[in-house]
Order: sequence, then structure tokens, then C-alpha cells
Amino acid sequence: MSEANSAYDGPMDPAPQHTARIRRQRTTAILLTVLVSLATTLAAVAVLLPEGPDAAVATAALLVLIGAPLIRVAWLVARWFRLGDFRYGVVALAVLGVAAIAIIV
Amino acid sequence: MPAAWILILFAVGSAFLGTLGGLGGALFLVPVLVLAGVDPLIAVPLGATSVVAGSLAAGAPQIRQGLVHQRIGVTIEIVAVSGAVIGAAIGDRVSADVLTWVLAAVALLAAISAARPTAPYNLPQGTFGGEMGGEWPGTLSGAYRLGDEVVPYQAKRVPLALSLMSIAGLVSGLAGVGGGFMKVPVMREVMRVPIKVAAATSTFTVGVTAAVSLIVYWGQGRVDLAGTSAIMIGAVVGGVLGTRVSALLAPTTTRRVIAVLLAAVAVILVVR
Repeated sequence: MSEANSAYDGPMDPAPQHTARIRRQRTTAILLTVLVSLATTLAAVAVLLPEGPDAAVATAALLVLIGAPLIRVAWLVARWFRLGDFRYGVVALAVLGVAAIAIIV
Repeated sequence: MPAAWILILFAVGSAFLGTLGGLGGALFLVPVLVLAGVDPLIAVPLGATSVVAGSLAAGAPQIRQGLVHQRIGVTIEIVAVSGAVIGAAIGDRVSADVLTWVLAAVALLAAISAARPTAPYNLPQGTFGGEMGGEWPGTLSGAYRLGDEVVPYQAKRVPLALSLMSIAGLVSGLAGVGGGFMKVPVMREVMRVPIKVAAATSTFTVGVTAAVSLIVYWGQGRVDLAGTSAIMIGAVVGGVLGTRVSALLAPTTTRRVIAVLLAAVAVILVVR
């Protein structure tokens, strides 16, 4: 068997798109971990603080909590538009649109 | 409102049980809070808080495993979020008694969902051996790795699924629960998405639905800030504990136990 042919018999290297996908997954996972850690830390501080100053910290914790899933959707919008996947980019944008309507409601 | 440490304990226990059963913690939390004397109108936003916290805590590992199909997620979220906004908006016009009945019905539905046996629709296919698992760009298809094998799948009957997802969203907004107990069976039975992908995608979507519901509750003045902080801590701790312990238990037995507990919650809510 020639060297060129034997190259097809070995294990396949991860394709470039696979590597890019793993990198994107890792970035999203890190972003989520940071946001949930931030929200939980703020919530813990709010529980420990006396009445009064705790309200501002609890508000910040809740804002991070509500914002985190929406930031994730916004991230998807940006990524899919960048990749040329306009159909799902628009779908994700519509989800954010409904969230905006919720603020008005 | 119970003391912060009691709320934390409630949230830890609920998130722990909910994670074991793969149903989310709010299904237990909201009824338990109502039984502890919290006004259902206030208990519902606390449930939604635990749903978002649990969704975020479970999100990172599921993304790393390539199990979440984000395109399916956002597609069902258009209708689910719309339903949730309507449910949350009408929630403060519904009496506490009606809301308690809704919670009991939701707990019973979830018990049935948890008790149902599941069999795989999607089988591994050797021709997809080079695929690493994950969603395929521009489609509602994908593949996930099952050991050394790859299971491809494609979402089916999307319009029917979307109409059912809008009901899941409405229930979620009304009762403050995640709605995963409806979303996962719909994704599995109607869309024929593999159970692992359906569960992970549902975890992603319930967080978005509950976050948008929370926006509406906040505008209605139904959010107890001190309570949400305590629930947030408990939901994250309980979710992490539940994830670790669930790996050690037999899934079928666990889900049956959870189903019995949920049915008991439904009965207690009705007869109290």
C-alpha cells in the first residue's frame, strides 16, 4: 500500500470545523459558568447583608440571572449571523424581541 | 415569607429532587412554598428564579458534551416565550385558589411524564463514525455520541411540536415551573429528538422561558428580592448535588420515586 493510501486507514484528525465547534462550546460554557457564579455570589452577599443595602445587591443578582439566558441567545444571534445562518439568526432575534415585549407588558 | 435559611433549604431539596428526576426543581418548590403559607402569586416568581438558576448551573456541562441543540431550542422558544408572557401576564389576575389547582394539575402531569417508560427512536449508525456530535448548521438535525457510536437525528413534525410548546410556555408563565416535563416528551415523542438531546435542549430553553416570565413578574411587583436571592443559592447548590448523585442512581427507579412524590404533592395541594 502506498504512503498516500495508508493515510486514509489511520484515525481521522479532527476536522477544522470540529475544532472551531469545540472552541465555541468551551467559550459559551465558560461564559455561562462566569454568569452563574456572579449571580450566586451576589445572591449570597445579599442574604448576608442587613436589610437596606441588601436590596441593591439582590437586584443586581436578579438582573444577572435574568440577563444570562438572554445574553446566551444574543450570543447565538451574533454567531449565526456571522456564520451566514440567517434563518436561525432571525429566529433567535425574534426570541429577544418577545423578551423586549415582556418588559413593556 | 419564611426565613432566608428555610428558603435555601427548600430550594436545595427541590432542585436536588428535580435534578434527580430530570424535571427541574420548581415543580417541587412552588407547591412546597404554597404549602408553607407563601402566597401563590409570590411563590410563582420564586419558582421561576430556581428554574433560571438551575438551567444556568446545568448549562455549561451540557454544552461541553455537545448535547444542546440550540437551533431547536430557539425555534421552540419563540412560541414558548410568547406563551409564557401571556401566562405570566394573566397570572396576577387569577385567584390563589385557581393557581393552586393549576399547580396541582401541573404536578400530576409531571408525575405521569416522569413515570412513562421510554424507548429509543434513534439508533447508532456506523456511516456517521467521523461525526463528533452536536447540531448541524442551518438545520434542525444533528448527532450525538453514544459511547464509541454516533446517533444522527432530525427534528420531525415541527409545526405540531410548536403548538404544544406554546402550551408548555403558557403553563410555565402561569405556574412558575420550567415546563421541561412537557417540553422533553414533546421533543421526544413528536419531534423524535433523542432523549439526552431533548433533556439538554429543554434545560437551555426553560431558562430562557423563566427569565422572560421573571421580567413580567417583576413589572407586576410580584418579585420578593430577598426571597429570590435565597432561592438562587439553594437552586444552584441543589442542582449541583443532584447532578452528582444522579450519576450513582438507576434512572428508571429514580424517576418512579419522583413520580410518586409529585403525585403526592398534587394530592396534598388539592385536599389541604
